[in-house]
Amino acid sequence: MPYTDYSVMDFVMDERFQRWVLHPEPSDHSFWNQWLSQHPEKKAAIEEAARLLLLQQYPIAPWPAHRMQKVKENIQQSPPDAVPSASQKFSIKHSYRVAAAVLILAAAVMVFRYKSIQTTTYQTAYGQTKAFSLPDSSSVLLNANSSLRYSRHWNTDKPREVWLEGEAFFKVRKWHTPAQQTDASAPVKFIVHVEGLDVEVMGTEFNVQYRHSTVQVVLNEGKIDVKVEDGERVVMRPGDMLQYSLETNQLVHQQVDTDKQTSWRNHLLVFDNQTLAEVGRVIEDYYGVQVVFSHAALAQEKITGTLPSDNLEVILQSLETIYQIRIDQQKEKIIMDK
Amino acid sequence: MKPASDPEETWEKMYTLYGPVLYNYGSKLTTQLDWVEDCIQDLFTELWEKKDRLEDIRYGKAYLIKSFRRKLVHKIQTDQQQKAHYHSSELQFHITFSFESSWIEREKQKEQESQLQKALSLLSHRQREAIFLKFYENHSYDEVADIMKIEKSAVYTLIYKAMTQLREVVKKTLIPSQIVLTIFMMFSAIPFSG
Repeated sequence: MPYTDYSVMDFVMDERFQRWVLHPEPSDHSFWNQWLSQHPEKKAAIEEAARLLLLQQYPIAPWPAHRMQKVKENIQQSPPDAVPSASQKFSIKHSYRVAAAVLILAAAVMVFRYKSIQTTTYQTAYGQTKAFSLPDSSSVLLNANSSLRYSRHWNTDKPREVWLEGEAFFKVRKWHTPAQQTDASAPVKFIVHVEGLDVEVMGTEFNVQYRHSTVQVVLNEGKIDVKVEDGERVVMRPGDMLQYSLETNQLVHQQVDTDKQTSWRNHLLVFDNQTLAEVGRVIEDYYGVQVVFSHAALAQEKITGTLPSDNLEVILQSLETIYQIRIDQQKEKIIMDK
Repeated sequence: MKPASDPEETWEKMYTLYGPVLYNYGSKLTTQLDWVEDCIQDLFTELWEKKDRLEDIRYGKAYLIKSFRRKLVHKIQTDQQQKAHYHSSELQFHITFSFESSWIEREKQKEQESQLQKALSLLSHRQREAIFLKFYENHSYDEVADIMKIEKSAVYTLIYKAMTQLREVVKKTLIPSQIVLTIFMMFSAIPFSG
């Protein structure tokens, strides 16, 4: 049966298809990409089949290194007919040795921990997003090619502080100092430090992006206070977007559709009458590639639509089919041509 | 003729590479991890004794998994017979999905994940073992048949039915990435003006 007659389940069961999705070799990519470009009507079936296969990840039971070493010694050091059973675990003499080793290891771990106690850093690679919680159980979604650093220990007597490069969406929980004596408890500030400005909040949902010498803050919910490096303070309300250029020190404050602005959270890129040049820049930020245009006029073409953000191949193929441009990818360089 | 590489080194490489694979696999078949270690030790003792011949293509991963499984299954069944657990003489195989953390609509996500875990737990032990060997350990249908000591067509059927069942649940719960797909297919083309 030819691939054109394949159903979702036929693809799931096909060993060549499985290999491409789960353990690809370079030749698989060229084969399937070419096939897909000739049969775009099969895209939905292929995507569904791929998702079913990609679901097949199971937690690993790691073999503890000291046990692995022990079994190896059992085999290598004993005469062949006197190999002790791995389950006859330790002699007493041996267990002293193990105890000593464990102590040394524990001490080493403590020293290591102590050294790295100051800060925690989360980083994302190109094309990857990461979700995690902060010590106050606020949550962060870090966009591709970004990093967030913060102090490992947070107290209610100091503001909560994080340092951001790239882009992240924050859901900040309100935190209060414990009520002392008669005073009512005071909320603890949460501060995002980004090049050029600080975003101060109590508990809200907002997005901060710092790329290409421009900081952009989008507020979905609540109220935030932005402190620009020159001392200016701006209060933002839900639906507000603030853009600050580090080159010109210019501040733009406007109302936007916050869902569109933060659509990357749902693995979507929403473009609303934007130029191909802007689309190209977003692709560059996400995937660490360089996007060039064969002629300047093409870069100014306007685009409206929604693209998935988590698959570069799909993005490029869609742009190709729908806007009838030719896209050529040479390693880290993407050339758009008409 | 000089061997291509030092036999002890070859043995060591195999042990480092496949020891953890066997341990991981064994831990799905039994909770008795000391048995798992015993069987790895038995197998690699045999290989140590014939370490001059390890370059032989015959001693690949499928061979190791198959030999290891035979040893472990024997241990499990011997134990079951001794304890007269006739009702549980079927071989067990336990796995769960490890989902990548996903942000969107966390509550709904939890729900979908638990539905999928439930669907996985409703598969038979043999179905789970077959999809594990096929998709996670990347063995061919022939190899899976050889390892599990069943016909290739039986392997195919086990996997086909398992994946069909999982697909139904995925469809029903509609994981967010599929919403993306739907939107993606709806988006409209704006013709070029220039």
